[in-house]
Amino acid sequence: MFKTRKITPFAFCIFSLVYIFYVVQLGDSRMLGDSIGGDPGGMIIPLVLGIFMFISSFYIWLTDKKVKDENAENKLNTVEKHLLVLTIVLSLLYVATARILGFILSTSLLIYILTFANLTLGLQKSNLKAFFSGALISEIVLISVYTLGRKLTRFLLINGRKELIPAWMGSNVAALLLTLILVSVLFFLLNIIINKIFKNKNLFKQVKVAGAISVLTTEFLYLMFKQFFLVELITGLINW
Amino acid sequence: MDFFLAGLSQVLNVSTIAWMAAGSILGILLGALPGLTATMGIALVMPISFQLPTATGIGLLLAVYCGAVSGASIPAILLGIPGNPNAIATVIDGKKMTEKGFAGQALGGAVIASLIGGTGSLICLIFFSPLIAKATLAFGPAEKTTLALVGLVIIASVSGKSLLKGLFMGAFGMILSFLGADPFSGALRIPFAQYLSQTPFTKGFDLTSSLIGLFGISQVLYEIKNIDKPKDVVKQVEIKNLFPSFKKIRSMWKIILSSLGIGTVVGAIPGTGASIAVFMSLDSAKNIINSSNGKLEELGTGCLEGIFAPEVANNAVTGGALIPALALGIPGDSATAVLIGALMIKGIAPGYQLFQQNMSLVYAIFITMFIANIFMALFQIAGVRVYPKILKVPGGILFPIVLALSFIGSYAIAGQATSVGIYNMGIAIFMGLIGYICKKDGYPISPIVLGLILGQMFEENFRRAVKLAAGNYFTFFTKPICLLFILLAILSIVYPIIKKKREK
Repeated sequence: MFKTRKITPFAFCIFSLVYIFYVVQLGDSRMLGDSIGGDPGGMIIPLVLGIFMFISSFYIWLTDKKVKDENAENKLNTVEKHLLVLTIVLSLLYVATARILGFILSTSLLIYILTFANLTLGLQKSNLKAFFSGALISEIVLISVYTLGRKLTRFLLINGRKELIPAWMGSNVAALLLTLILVSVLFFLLNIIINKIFKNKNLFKQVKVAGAISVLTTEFLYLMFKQFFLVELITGLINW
Repeated sequence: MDFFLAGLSQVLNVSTIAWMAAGSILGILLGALPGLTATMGIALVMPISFQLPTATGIGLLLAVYCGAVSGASIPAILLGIPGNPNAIATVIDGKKMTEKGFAGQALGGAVIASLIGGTGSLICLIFFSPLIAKATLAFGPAEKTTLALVGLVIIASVSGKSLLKGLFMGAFGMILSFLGADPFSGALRIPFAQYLSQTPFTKGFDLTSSLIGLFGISQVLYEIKNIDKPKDVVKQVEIKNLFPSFKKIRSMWKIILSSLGIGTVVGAIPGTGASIAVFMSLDSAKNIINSSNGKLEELGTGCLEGIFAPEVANNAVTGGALIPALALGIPGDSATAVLIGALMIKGIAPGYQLFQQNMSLVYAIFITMFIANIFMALFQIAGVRVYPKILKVPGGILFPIVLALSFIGSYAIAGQATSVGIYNMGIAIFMGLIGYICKKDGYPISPIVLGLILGQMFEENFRRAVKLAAGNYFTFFTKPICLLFILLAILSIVYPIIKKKREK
């Protein structure tokens, strides 16, 4: 029976049952000051919806049978499955470790690993050396760029307030733009150096693209959200 | 006039114009890249829009929306692959025009058609939305309950292949919206309340994070199946003579008008969307061409008629979908559902109150919609030679960026509160997984959004209505407007069933 039927409606069926029990266990809650009555209570709609969901998912489970070659385009091959699992696991790890690693490290690692895996179609043993060296270099580059950017921003904002530099240079937007320019120039120079060092290495292109994308995207998102929108991003390990 | 000027002053400033310009370019890029959708684009820039003044934020979202709907025509014309389902009908004649060496005319024609569709439907929006909003003055809790019900049922019945799956998803969205505190008693309605009462979970499911998960993260997971597939290569296409002659455009006035009407009306019907409008407009164009005595070219031969009909229609949907969204709070499609979510989080309730109490903002929305259309045309024309190059960027590079943006976007909504931010990221990934499973198994996700948006409105008004009727559940059947809505809800359930049986 289970072999011919789809698992999703069955899962929804179980979910609906659990939800019904949860609603009943939660009990009814009445409107404050409902002394004369008339309030149907907070249980009725969730309960009706739960029962409807259970009946409909059970019906779908019974009628929506597996068909051979159905959704063939949606079927994943081994590489795609590998990438899907990697993406999900890394996403969960990202959320779980964000507080410890901080925004800069966790975001850049997430982007680097996924981009590299996508470009090389999965993390293979033969690529691991290139993968780890690329990760290390891109993290060093990112931390250097971030540190210099922070120093410049602080210099501009503090000296702008003290009127030691023209007021416009001390504004938030100017600090952001100047930092962006500095980051771009630094990145450009580093790119030339790295190109010269690793010119003929295998997998160089994929490592370079993954590293560049992770450094630039992380720095851009940081500048945009932290410096422009003043969102309190988690500092984690990089707390300067 | 004062309201118009007040609205204008909210929009005409460097910050709004700059953000809208950026949004328009981003929207065109998102629309042009297959696998990325308009709704996803809006969901991803939503957290940015919260950090901006209301009119600027809404302008940014509208610019992304209009840009993405129009940008989808670029790969449709050059590659024969629609950037998103909105441009699915543009493929037929667009690809043929490219093969015949008229790629420039096709791209230019699509931009002009998009501009006509977008601005034409805006006029309808300006005219009709205040009228419909005024009609809602007569709505009490009972009417609002049935209105929410009809919105949910319609979108559930038309957004997927299976009516039951759509309704199930709508109910699922509603139960998620109930998590948190009971709106009347304040009692916590979360699992393991004794352990989780001090956590952000008590605030329920954050709407923005849910939307980011449903449309951003789920799309990234869903597109993994295409990562190892060879990417369609954009051949070196010579793009010249961008603008079709005025005489040619004038000769298609009937097609333009009919597509404009179809796009606006279809857009205004909750749950329908551009992918339906484009085929209806093509069908109508076919009839017009047949009766034109050879003055117009046959569809499918690589002609501008086949570009104008779908492109006017799909951009007309943008204005049409905003009519019920602004007037009733019922979104016309998933993209406007996200826009409503953005308004609601800003503390603005769509409906008559918006038109009565915040008319200057309504005008600001109209003006930003107009600017969004102009920017869409300007930037699409300006970058017509650049966008084909961007189509070469592989998904393997784009999707990790989208994923990171999804996480930081849902985190940023919390502002200074770190734990709430991390909780929001958790919601985003949970909804992303739900969205992925749903997409994979053919469950529509738009009804979840509607359920999330309308769930609380439905429950609150239902309880108020029954309370006012002293516990009488049949109060909904005693009011004419309620009866009309209930009838509409029943029709939208019964009609697809009859249609399906007839097709069989």
